[in-house]
Amino acid sequence: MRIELEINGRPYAGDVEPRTLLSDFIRHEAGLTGTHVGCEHGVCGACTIQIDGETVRSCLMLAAQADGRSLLTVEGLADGDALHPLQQAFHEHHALQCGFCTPGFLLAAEALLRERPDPTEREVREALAGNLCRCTGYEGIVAAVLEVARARPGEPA
Amino acid sequence: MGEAAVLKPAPFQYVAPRSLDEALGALGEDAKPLAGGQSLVPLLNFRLARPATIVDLNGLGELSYLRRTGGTLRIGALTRQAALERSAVVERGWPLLTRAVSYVAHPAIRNRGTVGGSVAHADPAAELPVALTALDARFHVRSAARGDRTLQAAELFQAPLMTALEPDELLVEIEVPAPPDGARAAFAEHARTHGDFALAGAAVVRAGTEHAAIALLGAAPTPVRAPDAERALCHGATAAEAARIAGAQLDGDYRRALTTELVRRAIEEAS
Amino acid sequence: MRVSRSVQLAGPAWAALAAGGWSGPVRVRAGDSEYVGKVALVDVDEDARVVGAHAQARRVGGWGGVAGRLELRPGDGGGGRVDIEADVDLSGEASEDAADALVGGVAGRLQDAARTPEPRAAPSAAEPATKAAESEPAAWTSPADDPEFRRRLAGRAAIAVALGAALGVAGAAWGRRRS
Repeated sequence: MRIELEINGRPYAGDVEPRTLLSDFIRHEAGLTGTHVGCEHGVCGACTIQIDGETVRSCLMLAAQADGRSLLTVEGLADGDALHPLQQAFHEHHALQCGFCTPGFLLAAEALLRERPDPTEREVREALAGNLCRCTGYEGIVAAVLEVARARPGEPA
Repeated sequence: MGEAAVLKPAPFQYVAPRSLDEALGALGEDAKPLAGGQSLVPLLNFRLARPATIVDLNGLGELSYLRRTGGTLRIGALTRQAALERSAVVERGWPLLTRAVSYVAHPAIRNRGTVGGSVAHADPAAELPVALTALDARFHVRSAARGDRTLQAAELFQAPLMTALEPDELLVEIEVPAPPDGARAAFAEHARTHGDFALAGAAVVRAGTEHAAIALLGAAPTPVRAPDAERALCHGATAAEAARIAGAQLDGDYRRALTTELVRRAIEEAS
Repeated sequence: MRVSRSVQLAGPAWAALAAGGWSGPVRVRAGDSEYVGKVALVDVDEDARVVGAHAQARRVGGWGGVAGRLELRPGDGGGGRVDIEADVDLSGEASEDAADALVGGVAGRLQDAARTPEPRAAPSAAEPATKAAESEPAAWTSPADDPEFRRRLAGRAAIAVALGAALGVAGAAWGRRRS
């Protein structure tokens, strides 16, 4: 079946089987390999993307279900060469080592900060509890998210 | 690109009905409904489930609603868990549901997962079935062949991952009566990390000695009430005493102790 | 911040609100920025005659967004007026204009839905591909079909193979030295 969707503001189309997972469509048909596949049963969060601004596990959606929808993946966070403040903060706080979990964390954190612009540390940890990291121990990730939450545009972070 | 090597589920036919009647007509022994997919798609990915046909219910907007009518809450089966979490109507009238849903997995799961899906999947560690059991919810079910029927929680939940739903039936609505005036509610659970499957839990609704409802998570193959403990509370027992009575039905020292403590905390919070 | 707004619908306000056909994607402009997201019907309180909604939008090509709860009430008299009360959070570089724009976007969706009475669209999947139509899905090619991409990938693969081979040779030589 043919599906058409928008990813990071650009149109994509492809032929899929009903059983094609959205994560595999994004990676293999759209060629956007920033979205990672870790567990394929919704536990690790590495495949997290956004649909209409809401986080979704792309490994738990059929590509067919995303027909006509508007997606955001990690490739859509930066503005040209300018990193998103979250990406910059992750870099500065050593919030990534192997980087496998990072795209999922970025999209989850981005959604969190829009819904909860001023979260407590506990709220950050609870909101990101669905994203697993095997490398960093999470401290740098939480620090990066809190820094961006507390930053104000135009002020040095 | 797109070769068979990257396909995880076994092949299936895919049907996306536009109406409830169309959906009911498509269901069958080997034609499974797909709601939020947060429980079914993992099974498909592992190939633990290999239905011949998947009936995608996500086009049935008419099944997604949270409605307060005549003091009763009516939850369309396809209502997203995130909507339940955000609803001011639910928080005002049925705060137990607001608390319980905040323990369900993680935000990304709740954005897709549905209330009806959680009920129909009947995971013994699930929070919403337990909370709905404590609230005396009624479950409205429909099939093309036999029409409508209504079930209580004890009738609906039969065993872990098993409900009384026939293969051609869909849960369409969950009806939750208004708790008594002045009732307070609390939900307590223990999981290793936030959002993990709970090891034990308790949902309590209490209005002094007039009304007490205690439902237990993880104490039995299905959500269960603790009628002896409820009666004890209505006769003036303390939280600790009632919790001990509720916990007595469990086997195993650890689970009994854990459940008893969670019940005690929930009763105290709801008092 | 709180945003209040009233909007006039073509038909009776309460029926249009409760039907929820106005849920869906939202795309608005504030200043020189675009915000995309969605508005969703959350709950209908038939007893109190108020509808709750949730709306959020992300600033495109920038940082931040707007999100919040809205309460929609029919005006008195059973006419077409809807009073919107919104409690909106701003994040990142989103300005107060963005909050107004978001509520304006919701108002626009209310008016559109009331004008064209169609069966209530699902607030989730199965939306018609209007977005794809807007941006003209012309011939799409996979990045992997780009010859330049393939050349760079082949170059990197060659380096990896050479490195692996060199390490293998060095390792074998070191192993022989030890024994």
